[in-house]
This record gives sequence, structure tokens and C-alpha cells, in this order.
Amino acid sequence: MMQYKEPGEKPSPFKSWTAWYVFVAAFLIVEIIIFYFLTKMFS
Amino acid sequence: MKPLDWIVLIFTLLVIILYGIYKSRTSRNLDGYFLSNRDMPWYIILLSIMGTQASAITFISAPGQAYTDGMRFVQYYFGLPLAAIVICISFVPVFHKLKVYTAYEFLETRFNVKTRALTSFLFLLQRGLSTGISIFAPSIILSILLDWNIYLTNLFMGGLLIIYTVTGGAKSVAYTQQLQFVIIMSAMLLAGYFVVKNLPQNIGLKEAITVGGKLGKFNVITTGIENGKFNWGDKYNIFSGILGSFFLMLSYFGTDQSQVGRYLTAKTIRESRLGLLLNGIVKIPMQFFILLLGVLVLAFYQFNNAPAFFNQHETARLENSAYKNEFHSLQKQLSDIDAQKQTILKEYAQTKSVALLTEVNQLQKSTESIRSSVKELVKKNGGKDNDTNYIFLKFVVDYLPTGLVGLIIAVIFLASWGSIAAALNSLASSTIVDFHKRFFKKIEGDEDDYRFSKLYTFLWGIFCIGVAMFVSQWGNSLIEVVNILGSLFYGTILGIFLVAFYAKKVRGNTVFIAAVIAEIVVIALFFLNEYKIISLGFLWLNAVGALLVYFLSESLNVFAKKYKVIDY
Repeated sequence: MMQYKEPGEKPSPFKSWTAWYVFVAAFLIVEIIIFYFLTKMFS
Repeated sequence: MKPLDWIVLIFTLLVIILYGIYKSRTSRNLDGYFLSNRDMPWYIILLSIMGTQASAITFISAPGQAYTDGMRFVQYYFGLPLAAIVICISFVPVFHKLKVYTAYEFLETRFNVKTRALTSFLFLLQRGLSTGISIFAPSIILSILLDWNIYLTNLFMGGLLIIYTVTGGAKSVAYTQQLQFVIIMSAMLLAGYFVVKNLPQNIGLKEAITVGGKLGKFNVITTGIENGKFNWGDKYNIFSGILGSFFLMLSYFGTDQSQVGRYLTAKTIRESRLGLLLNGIVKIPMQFFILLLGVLVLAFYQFNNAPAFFNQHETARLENSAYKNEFHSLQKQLSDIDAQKQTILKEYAQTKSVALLTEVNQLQKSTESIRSSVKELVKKNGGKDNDTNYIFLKFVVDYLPTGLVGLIIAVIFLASWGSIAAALNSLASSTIVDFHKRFFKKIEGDEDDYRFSKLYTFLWGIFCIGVAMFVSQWGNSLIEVVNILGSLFYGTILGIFLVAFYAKKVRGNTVFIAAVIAEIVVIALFFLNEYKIISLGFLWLNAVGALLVYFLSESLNVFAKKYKVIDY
């Protein structure tokens, strides 16, 4: 993955942007799983 | 509305306008006016992105959508986090590195001026029209619900924000969006609290969701598979939500200047990326909550008599028509069913026996059937038979406490202003950067740039109010009309950008021809679907447009090289 950095850019809260991307994708998957179980539970 | 509601409404709107003017001091050049000198922190970028995307239609239509169709609409946003990741990887670094004012400037560097002009033109066309609809959509609802004059409402909805948008440019837009968003979310949370508070004793949030769920409206995840076959015409399911919406969101956040213009104001790439990624995280839960309001309102109306039709303008017309007696008879049937439901639900409140809800579900089917008959009458009477957009506001006006009604009405204005202001700013930046300065070059110096930027913002404001004044009635839920309009052009625009980023060998003329062909195909598919010749949900148009541009470009490139038919 392209890791473009500006000169003097502050580090992100995670060690790399790849970690951010994985986190965001994982968050989506967890959301979908929770929604799936909520749908099952209340339908 | 009561006097206190008017005070709350006027006070909130005045605060925003004054705050916008207060924040309007910026450098008198293009950088200051359109990009706020590129000095915004990530949290302003986040709120600005959210404020631009969430229009009044989001807050008015979504609860009504959940009331009638359930919560499955939330799946429409599943593609957003994935799109945000791709944009952070490929789009943001390039835009920042080239220090562009508009996304389309990059296309001239990569291809040619023709491709840049075509893409910018497609953007101006769809954004100009959809901004007009963004003014008209909430205005028509407010004018009917509160008996306001539609032309004056349009003028207030689209006109007042012009004051600070023209004066302060991107900086005012971003700061007012921040304040607007805080007010909007606080008001929606308060509305949610009062929906639950208005439920009978022994019925809380969990029971209300259970009731909504048993009525089939808590369908957050759906597959679109019917009788073992995938239904391509099904609008919202997990597949169209992830794949179709991925292309739509990629196009919207990566190539629509109204969004690109927001994160170009960031101090650094880091601030742009954080704003985009955090939006990917918080948008879905936020939309879930707004849709949940619709399910809660539906649950509320199981314990209370629901109107036969939520657009009171149409019911008033029925009262004075030849269908009056038929309408009264349907109303009587409805109130009988409501009484039966309420007796069962009283028992449910005591026993919490979910089995009782099966009976309520049966009765709800009868309710829906009667509502369909009422809709038929409305249609026969020459009226508009879709009342989805009136459901939530009718509930607000009828049941929320004085003061909060004024605040919710203010929310509609603020949400509109947030997205319209960003749209006007982006329409003006594209016009001046991609056309005026590029082709006419009559502007000399920063002061001229600044004056023309303000002039174009003002003119686009007038144009969009003009569109709002002339827009006639639409058949679908208003939130869909705007999304469908976007889907007609977004796929092609995205395809051009995808070729620019990932198909390194393709040149300008090839992508231009591919884009024109793809746009014709997308419009043809849209009409084939409209006339029921094929069945294709509108979200798929984004994927079709983008992929078609990409693969046509690659194929044409090979063909052109081989036969040397396109001039490089």
C-alpha cells in the first residue's frame, strides 16, 4: 500500500496507516455481525 | 407552532448566521476562500464531511423510511468505510501533493483539458440540480405541515445561508457545519428520548424495539435473495450495500467536489485521512440511530391511534372531495383495528409475552392494507400518494413538547444549510477554477479571484433556489431521488478517476470516449429499469458506470494502439 507522508507529518495515533485501515474494515465487519444478530434477535 | 417554538427556531437560525459571519474572516484569495488556507484540524474535517453528507432529507426521510420499509436502509452505508480506506490510500495523497483546488484539476495533469472539463461539467450538472432538490425537498414538507408559503420557505431554506457562505467561503461553511451538527444530533437525541418517554408505562426501549421487530421493521440485515435467487431490483441488501454503495461512496467522497473541497481544507494529509476514516466509523451507527427513531415511532403508533395518511394536506383535500365517505369508512376501520391492537398491547405491557405480538402483526397487516386503500383514494383524488416524508414530522408536531418542535424544525434548516453551503462553495470553486480561470483567464490577481469567487457562490445560490422553485412533484421518497440522481453520473466520474489512478497506460482521448459511452449506457439502463424492461436497483448503476469506463478505457487503449485510430 502506498504510504505517502508529508514532510514533518505527525505520526497517526496508530503506528501506521495500514493499522488504521485494518481497524476501520474490522469495525465494519463487527458492526455487520452485531446487526445480523440484532436482526435475528428482534425479528 | 406555538410562540416558544418560533422563538427557538428564529434564535437557532440567527445564532448560525451570526456565527458564520463571525467566522468569515479569511485571506482574500482562492486559497483562503475555497480552502480556508488549508489549516483545518481533523475534527472540523470530520464534522464538515458529516454535515455535508447529511442533508435535511436524511433526517426527515430516514425515520419515515424505517417506519414503512424497516431499517434495511442502513445497509446503503456499508460501502462507506471501505471507500474511505481506498480514498485515503490513493486519492488524498495525490490531491494534497498537487495542491489542487478541485478534484478535476488533477484530471488535466493526468489526461487532458477535455476530460477535466467533461468531469467537472457532469459534477456541476448533477450537484446543481440535486442542491436545488435539497432546498425544495424539506421546504415542501414544512410548507404543507406548517401551512407556510412554499416560495417563501424555499427562499428561507436556500437564501439565508447565502449570507455567510458568500461572505466567508469554506471557513464559514466548516465552522457553521460544526455547530449545526452538534445542535442537530442533540435535537435528534432529545426526540428519541421523548419517543420512548411517550410510550405507555412498562414499555421501554427494548419492548418498543421488540414490537417494531415483530412487525418486520427491525430488518437491519437483508440478503436480497428471494426463492433462492438474488433479486437485482432489490434496492437495499447487504450485497448492494457493500458493493453498489462502495462505488457510490467512492465516487461521492473521492470525486465530488462538495466532499473533496472539505478535506482539501485540512492542514495535512493526516488530518484529511483522520476525518475521512472517522466518518467511516461513526456514520453507520449514526444512521442506525436515525432509522431506529422510525421504528420507535412505529411502535409508539401501535399504542396510539395512527393517522390514516400522514400528509394532512391530502387528507384535508379528501375531506372536501367525492371520496369523503369512503375515506371516513376507512378511517373507522383503522380506528377499530387500533383499538384491538391497543387491547392486546395492554396485556403485552403487563405480561411481556412476545406471542401476543404475532396477533399485533396480523392486525398491522390489516392496517397497512387500509393505508394502501387510503393511498389509492389520495391518488384518485389527484394527490401525491407517498407520505413517507411526513411521518416523523407529523409525530414531532403532534407529540413532542413545545420548544422541541421549534428545535426540530430548526434542525431541518440547519441540516439543509450544512449540505447546501458546502455544495454552493464547491459549485463556485469548480466554476471558477475549472472553467473561468482555465478558459477565459480574465481574472487577474488575488482580489479579482476573491470577488469572482463570491459572485459565483451567490449566482449558484440563486440558480439552486430557482431549481427548487420549479421542481415539481417526485414519485419516490425524496432521499432516494437525490441518491438516484447522483447514481446517474457518479459511476462515470468515478470510472475516470479510477483509470487516472490505476490504469497508468491509458491516455486522455481514450478515457474521454469510454466515459461518454459509459454515461450513455448508464442512462439507458436507468430508463430500461424505469420502464420495467429490466430490473436493476439504482445502487448498481454506480458499479456499472465505473467498471464500464475502466474496462472500456483499457480495451480501447489496446485497440487504439494496435490500429492507431486515436491520436495520442
